[in-house]
Amino acid sequence: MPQTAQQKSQDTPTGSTPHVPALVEKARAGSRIAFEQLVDLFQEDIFRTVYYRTRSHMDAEDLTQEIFIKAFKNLSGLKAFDRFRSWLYSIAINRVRDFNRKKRFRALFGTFSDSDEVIQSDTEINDHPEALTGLMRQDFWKQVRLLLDKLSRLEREVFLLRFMDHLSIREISQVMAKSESTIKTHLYRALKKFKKDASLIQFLQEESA
Amino acid sequence: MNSHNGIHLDEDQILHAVVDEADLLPTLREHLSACPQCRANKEIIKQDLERLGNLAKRFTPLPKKQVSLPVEKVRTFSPWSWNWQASLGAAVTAAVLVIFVVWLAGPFRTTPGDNADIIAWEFFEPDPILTEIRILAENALPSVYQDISGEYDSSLDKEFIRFIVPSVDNEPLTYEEGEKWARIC
Repeated sequence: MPQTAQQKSQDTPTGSTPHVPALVEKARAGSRIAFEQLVDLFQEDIFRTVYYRTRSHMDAEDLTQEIFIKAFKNLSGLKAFDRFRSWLYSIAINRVRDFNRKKRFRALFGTFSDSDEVIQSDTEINDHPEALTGLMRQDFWKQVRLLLDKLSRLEREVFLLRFMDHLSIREISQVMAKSESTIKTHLYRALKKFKKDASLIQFLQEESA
Repeated sequence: MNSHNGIHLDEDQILHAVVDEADLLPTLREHLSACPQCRANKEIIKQDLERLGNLAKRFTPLPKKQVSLPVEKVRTFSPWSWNWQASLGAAVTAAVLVIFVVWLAGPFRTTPGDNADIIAWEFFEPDPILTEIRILAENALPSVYQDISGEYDSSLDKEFIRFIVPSVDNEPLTYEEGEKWARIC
């Protein structure tokens, strides 16, 4: 498995792999191979980003595919090559937002069942050789969902981007098209709610013990 | 105990430090760097957040499918690529204009279509009925009788006509004629 952009970004202070701008420039000039390398670098990160927000493996795969195709088709619109990562995340966030909006709309008319996730999780637990890990996974996502439900839309997005997707404040401001001070304000409010969520913090500390 | 009013950083200040330590006041920053307890408080929150991120990653399945790209090439900037729709629109408009102008010129117009066109047509074209009336005014005889009438025969001059039909004034008065005239008077 190739090293993901997130793993590489931890080595660089800018949160971007050093050769990403060069790959973007080549891809923009028409190199399909360069874009495929970008896909290899970012596919897992984008898949996780989508999964955190949809909690569905199938939907996350489909949306990841759509996000990269959209990026592929609109790459000529990207002017700053060093902003590829935040640009890609902004496509992902917008696509997931559209998806969730449609999902809520379908749920209004009863054509979508939110329990798909639970059924899937149960199936995965039964199929998984380590059932305990499956239970922990289910409990973890339940705790995370309870926390995220307490946050406003912006607080939730900023919190996820910063602490689960590991984007820098600057990158988040580019993704959300808001000033860094606005991002920090929402992040601070989200952290206050996180700090008050005793059950999640207990869960996290038990996990580490 | 510390350099900032003798107290530790409160929870809000610790949270601000977690978001971005550079946003703290310089005195608070100095205290944070010097105070092990405040640093520990900050580290606890940071570690909880780090665990959250790690567990999220751990409890997320890996994608099973590789992203497949469409067959077409990546679009590159080209002066022709951005305005092909505008060019097509301009070409269609020009073609329509040319057709309209050619139609107005008239080579394809055969007969008038409606009443307005009939009036315009008659304005430019001579009316066949009027033409016929004009011909009849000049010579009312049908062409069959024109030879018999001899009206247009140049050989029939006035002398010949006078010979055929002599004038009344030139004739001598006969008896019969005198009786006739006497009866009339």
